[in-house]
Amino acid sequence: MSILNIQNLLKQFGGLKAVNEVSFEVNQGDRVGILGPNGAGKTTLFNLITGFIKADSGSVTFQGENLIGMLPEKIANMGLVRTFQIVKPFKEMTVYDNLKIATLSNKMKREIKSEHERKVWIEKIAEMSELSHVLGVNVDLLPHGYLKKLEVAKALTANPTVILLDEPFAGLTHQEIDPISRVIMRANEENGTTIVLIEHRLKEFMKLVERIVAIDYGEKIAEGTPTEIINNPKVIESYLGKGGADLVNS
Amino acid sequence: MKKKLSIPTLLVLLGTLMLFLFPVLSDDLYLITVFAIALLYAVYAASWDLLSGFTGKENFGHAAFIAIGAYMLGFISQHFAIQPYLSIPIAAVLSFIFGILIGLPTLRLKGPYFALATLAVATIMERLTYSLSDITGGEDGLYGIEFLTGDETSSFYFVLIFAVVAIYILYRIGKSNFGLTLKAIKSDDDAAKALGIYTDRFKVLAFGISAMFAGIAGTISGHYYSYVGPDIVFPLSLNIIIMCVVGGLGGIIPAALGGFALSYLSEMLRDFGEWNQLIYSGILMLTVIFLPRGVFNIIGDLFKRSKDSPVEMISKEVEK
Repeated sequence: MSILNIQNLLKQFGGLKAVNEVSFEVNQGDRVGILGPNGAGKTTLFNLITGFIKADSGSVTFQGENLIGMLPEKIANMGLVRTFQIVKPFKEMTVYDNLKIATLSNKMKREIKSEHERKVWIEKIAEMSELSHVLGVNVDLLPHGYLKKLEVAKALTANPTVILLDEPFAGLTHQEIDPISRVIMRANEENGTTIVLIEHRLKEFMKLVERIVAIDYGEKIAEGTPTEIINNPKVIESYLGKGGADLVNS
Repeated sequence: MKKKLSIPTLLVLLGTLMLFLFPVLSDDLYLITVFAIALLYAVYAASWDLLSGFTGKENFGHAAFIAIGAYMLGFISQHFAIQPYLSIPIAAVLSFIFGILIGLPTLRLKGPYFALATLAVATIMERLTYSLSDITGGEDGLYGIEFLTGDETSSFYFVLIFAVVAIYILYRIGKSNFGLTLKAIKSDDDAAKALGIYTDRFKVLAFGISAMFAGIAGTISGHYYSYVGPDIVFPLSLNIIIMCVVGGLGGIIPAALGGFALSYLSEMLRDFGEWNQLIYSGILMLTVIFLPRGVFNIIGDLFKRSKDSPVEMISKEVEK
């Protein structure tokens, strides 16, 4: 049974259909990618699923509950946690305190019984996210690659069932991408966290996900394995324009 | 985990001890009064800092909270003989509720809109004190409120103990997970929500706590002066902001020290007559320009041991 079920999700901004009747399902333990050119509606889709924007119609069902109309903080407490494309570290505090914030939600207060347990949990996530050596550093002094890693680590510290990652590799070099890629794989394989990922960096993206949902102009244009998707004429056209598929195949 | 006391902490404790000893060593009643009032300002500033310094919402109407405590006392003292120990819990409950009521509609406002809304609350209350002069005494205020205690020295001790306890509680709240969450909300509300933090609840609660301590301090000031009036309440809003900015935001103690120091300073500058305002304003401008993080935050930083810079830490990791 699917853990996250999106049906006919629709959002209009004025006359623009940012997300147009998109449907797809995510199963427990999946690593799903959302692919699409700039402005295709990927981030809007995340905003709709996590309650930051209210959908016009359609449904988002998470573990059997309809999320439409719920507050973002409530959705996060249910175990559906997102990250942001533009990093949002909590300024003027250490990496440790940034992760600590994620343990102060109602959900984590139930799961963590003592300050000692809290510390052990934060250190475990820091170790997994390869941030142990900078736990005491003020985030204002961290380079961008570390902030991207912190963005993922913060979400993992909230112990999500499903994590929605919005372009975790954006603006990074290949050396910087590798550790984040490892963190995502470890979260999936060791903790069983379900991954939904938006990315543009195709090479790393294709290695990471098992299934891809391709979106263009707010509509779902294809769904399949990475190999199927890169050979799909519609997907190629969305990136290269009309006739792009012929160009590639010629 | 036992920590050694840092030098700034020791200095603050030493200063507090000196205040406790002062009436024993000196019989200068003028200075004792100056200190008592400076201590009340320290509480005003500390309570402002918990809301505004921690969540980044600059409250331009803190006097409204103080007025609730002060006028509640003024009102009941006209009708009942009231002892300080009874008025304080009433002030606490009343101003806490008032803070929540102001917090609920304004919590989504940002920047200048929030500032204007809070300014409006204080202005409306000031107008009300004039138009409801039957109850509030209007411009003349209300006289004849029961003193804290029989004599100056014990009144001073009352204020001192109250200030120490109040500032310490606010400091602990600021250091707690609650305070950390407020700082996260200040940095990025959406990021906190995305992790499951009910940010609105935290903000409203911060309003309540900030108002509660301001209200209690307002009540105690009424007892101390034996008087409640618009002239000692409503000009406070702006002064408190200045004190907090000069002292330093987001740590309670720097703000409280700012409140104490500037209150003392403005009293000492009276000797300069008409130069008084010029010197006071000059000091303010210089600190804002050269020490934007606040005098006492900067002094605190001076004593911090410098650790490895993050660049070194990261490069060490790479070398491994």
